[in-house]
Amino acid sequence: MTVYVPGDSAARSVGADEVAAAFAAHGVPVVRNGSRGLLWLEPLVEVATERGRVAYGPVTADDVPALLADGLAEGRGARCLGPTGELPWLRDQTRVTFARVGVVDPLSPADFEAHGGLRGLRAALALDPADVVERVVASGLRGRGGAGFPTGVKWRTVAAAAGDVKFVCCNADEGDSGTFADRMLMEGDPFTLLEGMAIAGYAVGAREGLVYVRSEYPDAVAVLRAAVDAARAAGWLGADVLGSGVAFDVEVRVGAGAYICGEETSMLESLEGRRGTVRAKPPIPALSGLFGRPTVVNNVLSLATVPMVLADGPEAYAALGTGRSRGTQVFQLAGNVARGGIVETAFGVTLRELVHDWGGGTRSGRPVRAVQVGGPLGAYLPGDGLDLPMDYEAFAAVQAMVGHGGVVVFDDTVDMAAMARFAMEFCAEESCGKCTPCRVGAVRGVEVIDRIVAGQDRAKNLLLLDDLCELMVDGSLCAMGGLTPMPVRSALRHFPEDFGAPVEEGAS
Amino acid sequence: MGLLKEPDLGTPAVTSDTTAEVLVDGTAVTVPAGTSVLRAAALAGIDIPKLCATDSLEAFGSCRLCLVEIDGARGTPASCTTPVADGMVVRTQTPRLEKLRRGVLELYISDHPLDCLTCSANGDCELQDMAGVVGLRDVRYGYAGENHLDAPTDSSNPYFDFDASKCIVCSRCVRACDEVQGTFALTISGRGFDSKVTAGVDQPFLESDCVSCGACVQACPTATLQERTVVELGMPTRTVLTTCAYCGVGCSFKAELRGDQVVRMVPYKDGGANEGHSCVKGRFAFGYASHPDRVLAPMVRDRITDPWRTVSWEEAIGHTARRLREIQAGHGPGSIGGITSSRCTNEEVYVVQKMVRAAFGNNNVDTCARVCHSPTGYGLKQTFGTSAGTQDFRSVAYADVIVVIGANPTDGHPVFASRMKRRLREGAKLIVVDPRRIDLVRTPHVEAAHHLQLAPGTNVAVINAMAHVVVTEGLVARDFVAERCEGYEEWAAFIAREENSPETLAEVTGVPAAELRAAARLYAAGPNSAIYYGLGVTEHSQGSTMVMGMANLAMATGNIGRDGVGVNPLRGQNNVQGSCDMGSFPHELPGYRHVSDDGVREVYEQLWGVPILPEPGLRIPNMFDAALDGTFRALYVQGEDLAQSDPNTRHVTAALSAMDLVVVQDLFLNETAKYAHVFLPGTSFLEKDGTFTNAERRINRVRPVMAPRTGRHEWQIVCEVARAMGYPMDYPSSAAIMDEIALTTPTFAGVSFATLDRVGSVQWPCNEAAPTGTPIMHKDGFVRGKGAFVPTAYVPTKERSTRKYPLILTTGRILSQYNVGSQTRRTANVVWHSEDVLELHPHDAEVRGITDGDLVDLASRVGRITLRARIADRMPVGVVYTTFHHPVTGANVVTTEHSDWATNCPEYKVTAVQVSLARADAQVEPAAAAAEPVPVAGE
Amino acid sequence: MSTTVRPHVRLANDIAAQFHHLPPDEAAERVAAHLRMFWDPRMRAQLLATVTADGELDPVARAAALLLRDTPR
Repeated sequence: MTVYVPGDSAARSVGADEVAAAFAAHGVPVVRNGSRGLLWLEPLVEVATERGRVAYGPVTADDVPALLADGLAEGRGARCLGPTGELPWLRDQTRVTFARVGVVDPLSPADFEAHGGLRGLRAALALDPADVVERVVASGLRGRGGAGFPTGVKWRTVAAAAGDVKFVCCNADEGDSGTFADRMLMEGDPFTLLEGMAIAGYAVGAREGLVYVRSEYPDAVAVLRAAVDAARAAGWLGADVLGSGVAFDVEVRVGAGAYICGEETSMLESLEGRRGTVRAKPPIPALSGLFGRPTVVNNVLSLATVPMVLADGPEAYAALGTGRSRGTQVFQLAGNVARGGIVETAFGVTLRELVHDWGGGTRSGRPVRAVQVGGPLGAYLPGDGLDLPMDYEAFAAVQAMVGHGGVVVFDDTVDMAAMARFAMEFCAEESCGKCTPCRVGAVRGVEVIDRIVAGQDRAKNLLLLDDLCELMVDGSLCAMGGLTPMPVRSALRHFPEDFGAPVEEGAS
Repeated sequence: MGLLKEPDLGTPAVTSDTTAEVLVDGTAVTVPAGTSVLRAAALAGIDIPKLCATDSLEAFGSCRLCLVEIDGARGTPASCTTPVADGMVVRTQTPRLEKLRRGVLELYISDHPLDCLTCSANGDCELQDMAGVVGLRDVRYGYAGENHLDAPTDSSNPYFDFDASKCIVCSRCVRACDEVQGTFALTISGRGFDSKVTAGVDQPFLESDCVSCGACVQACPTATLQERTVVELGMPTRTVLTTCAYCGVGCSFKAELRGDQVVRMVPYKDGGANEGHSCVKGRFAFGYASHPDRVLAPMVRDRITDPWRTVSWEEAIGHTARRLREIQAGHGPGSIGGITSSRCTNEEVYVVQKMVRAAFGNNNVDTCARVCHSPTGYGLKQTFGTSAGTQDFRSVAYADVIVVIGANPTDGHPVFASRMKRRLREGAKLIVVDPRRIDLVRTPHVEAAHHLQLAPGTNVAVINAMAHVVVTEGLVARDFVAERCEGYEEWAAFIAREENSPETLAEVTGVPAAELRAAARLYAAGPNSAIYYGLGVTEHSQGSTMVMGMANLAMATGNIGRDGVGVNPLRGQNNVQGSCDMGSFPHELPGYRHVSDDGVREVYEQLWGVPILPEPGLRIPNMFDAALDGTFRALYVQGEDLAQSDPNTRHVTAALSAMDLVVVQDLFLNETAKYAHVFLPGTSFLEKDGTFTNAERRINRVRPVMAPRTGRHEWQIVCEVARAMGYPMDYPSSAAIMDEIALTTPTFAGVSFATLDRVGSVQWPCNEAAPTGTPIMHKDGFVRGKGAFVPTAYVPTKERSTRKYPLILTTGRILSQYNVGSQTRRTANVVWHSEDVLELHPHDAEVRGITDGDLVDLASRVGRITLRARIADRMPVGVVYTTFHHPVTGANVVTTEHSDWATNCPEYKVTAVQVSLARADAQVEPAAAAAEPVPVAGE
Repeated sequence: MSTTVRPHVRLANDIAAQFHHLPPDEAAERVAAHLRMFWDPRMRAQLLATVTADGELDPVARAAALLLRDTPR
């Protein structure tokens, strides 16, 4: 009998360690897998049976003796949820990037290979680097960090840049509220990320990769570091990757708690040992990145998707999705939602399907009033406007963004003026302080919203807020200041009544 | 002129082989590729509003005022960080941009004091200017929001305040400290709205690593960092361009005045030596010129024990001339002589040597360069054919390997050090040859590849060992040597001897052979390797040998005659180069031409109407020896404090005491004046009208900001003395003196005040062949024809450590003080260095029971002084170090009579000493022993 | 004073020491050339005056002094 109890920090936060200990105390062998992403069921215990893995959850340590007594070893019992893969929540997903997360033992090289690991890297090493780049281009993969820039095009720039020292930097400073996919991948399937980085390094001619992980993710850091050691020991990283003669190695670096270090140039500054402040672009990091060298900066999910693209061919990946948004996105349902967790599915799924079908509406049971997509700087969309397909361009058309795929749900008790204020407050708190619109503007933004809510010179202050938003959008040095107006303006646009005013006085 | 406002093109110039043509608001402009849109616009005459951009710093992109619209580009990019592209169409003035810029200013002003009318920067504030430019009329945010108006002012620095309430967090100060000065003392701490400029680790400026160079003050667009003199005296109203009178870097400054009161000295961007940078001395320490200690009227006395008697100029000059003639009548024409000052202008120096040669009728003229860089003159003349450094300062930006030998540029030549550090941060490799671990060995973003920590006095052994590696490992630039040099075979045979190998010499030098070999290979690999050196090379008994040794090494590796290479003395004083150029040596007429050269003498004999002796005269130490012999009895001293700056003080003062007449021409009653019979008050650089020649042979104008406070220019005094002695000597102006120099000196043929006023500065040789001067020497051939290899045997100094004197003392200077300190001690710079201290290694201190701050006795076989000890692990065991900035310390009481064999430059850098705890009742007089003031001296 | 050696003897010896790596005749020539170039005639005269008497004079310096006597310029 093998029991799977997630070692993922979300599962641990609700008692997975105790559950695992309880099984161990009964002499049951336990594998600490990643999380399947059904967070409302965590700790989600699985047991390998003839029917495949079957699920139980949520399980507490106290439940363990009863579960065992009730036939858990054979996959029986009243609390059995059935085969995991047949749970509708999982069944209806298209898991590409997250194919192995929750399935494998994260630090078992054998398990990784047994589940298709290294196929991508082997395929890549058999190609010319330039062909690797073109396959990534052909897959239509776009940067999953939020900006949605075509990954292959970025690689092409780095590959063409002059210089014998280049870097691959993985941005794992996952700071957006309501997002956790990077963490779950790093904790649940770290070898995939390393494989993706090695492919990137080979493709662009970099011998060194760095993963910049936020300090709030100690488990991810530990797993990644162990994975790097294991990969080196297995000859997947190092001076001679898979016996190809290609050198590539990875170092894991830990941030220091600044949201802005998720912005790629700030991350590079931080990696260089400086304060995390934004650099002006140009030069773009692809040409002058870490220590002034050509650098691939990609999000965890982008890099972790690359092995699949190489293993199964770009066509397979590009066949998924809609419009210019190809492949899958790993959506993260959070906030006031009945069933939170990871939903990886092809682009084109509507927000309504995510929030209501997968998410099951609000956890409070009250009506969904607003959904914020794409992190704290993403737009608020009204509960009655959720038929929007998840698609970079469709979102942009309504002044919203898909971002990193975080979906945060609010019920009808939310005060949207407070949420708008929070956006400015967040910006003021997390601004690097370099450019004026962000440094001073965010502070003034809070003050102006307070005056509006207090009914002070409303018309004048609403105009001022609009001017400020325009200045921050057009004038900020980076996306932090530039996007902060998005939640503010969307809140004003969709929920003017929360700003203490007769609706007709309204907002811009 | 009125107040000179230099144009600010926003971002630094870019050099590129290709150009781009852009259309800015309909105006076409062609610029080097890579130029910013902001700069291109400025070059097209279109000023885009800006605050964080300034052309001395790399673009930063933080203020967001310089936003523009570019056809085909998204949004409104910042023009400072956006490079031009060929065919780019830029609009800088549109309603959208105007609204954005007003919005930015509105945010700034919402967190800024509204005291423009009473602000010290009123009228010289870029924030104020920009508010006007963008037409800000209303701050709709009001002023009740969160702000920094209560942020405190840091007044710890004696020269400038940091008023944080006025800071706009543009980071210009931080970037200036990083990029221009290279000290990295400032940072922005905090995040977002809490971001603030912070010195050190949240320290007051004075306690931080700040070196008070003024770059941050210069860069600040508001009144946040401002000279206290501007706060006190108000905004200056006019500018006089002039040249700093401190070290041999020779920085160009804008003296900014109200009336004839200097409000501040601002480094001049067009200055060839400094390109807009400065150090704490030149920038701030000019107050000595108006110090009450200045003597403004001539004085005489019969005996040095008599009190001084203030007299008229006529009496002083008549008395001086009469006494000089009387002494010559009694003891022969050769019984008198003169010493020129490296602190004075070329014109002032020229007339002194002329007075000696024409009116005194002998060659007994020497200069204080005798005690600093005379070996440079000798060594480079022997090998290259000219007594000067080979490069301009700009050249260091092209060096791949930089060797610093016996120099401490960050203290002694800080502005050049900043240029050097910039290159080192770009990746050039550094080799430091110095007994001490000077700051350059490890300083922010700079670390020496090799620090050859040699025993004092073993320079020649080290350079020979390096050359040995080059020759024996086949690293010689064969083509260069074959084509450009002579004497190679003899030299190579000598240097290849086993006695010159790193392994053999390691015992002598203390430098591990492997380290030395690696350094030699690095230097030889270049491709561009440059040597910079200072008095740690020259002030040795083998100083001249070492200079030739460096020249040999440079020739053997082909590191001469182009950018990024060369052999370069860092001159201690502002006009060391010039005073030497002007014929101040007893064997040379102006332009380093030997007095035995009939053709040269004839030029002067014809012009001056007197015969000139064909034999060398006495050097300074010869004069002292002859004075004690009784054959030399009168000395005219222009601005050198022999009694403090020359070695073996007891010997010097005995010689001075033995003379019948000592004439001192100086700003202050210095140590030498205690032995003088006539005191002729001199002028500060703020009163002088002439030229200084810096270490890169750059002839810079020194322009008066006020009339001589003494009523006489120094050159006029000298002419009057000569005339009173019966020799007709007069000039209508100092410009006419330069005209005579140009007329008689081929290397100066193209130099005139008019030319300098037109082009700013020139580097000699400046003549028909090189009408705009010569930044890099020996380009196509050496001045002497072929470069001469000279075998340089290592002859150890006779000064050895003994049981009685087991330590070696070496001397130097520190950043805030200058030379004998007569100027800097009369400024607030004393806050950084109020007394000379003795640095010694913890081990040497431990075995003597000395702890940090103890008073110690420092004794050599010639003298003993008392000073405070500082335990410093930058010293090697067995070597101690002090400075000679304070007369009360009397560091030269202990230095000896040993000198460079060829030039008699004193061996200041090696003295065997013993250090012991001072008696309990001992004390060092307070530094302000300026009641017995002291100026100008020899280094 | 710190030393009893007369200045011109000390200075001449310092110069001579630099040329000890050469054959004595050549060394003497070089020292003599240096003295002609840089020494005031009265110092050269002092050196000549002591050339036979002064036992502290370096042999190369002594040879150079004799050259000076024969060829003053």
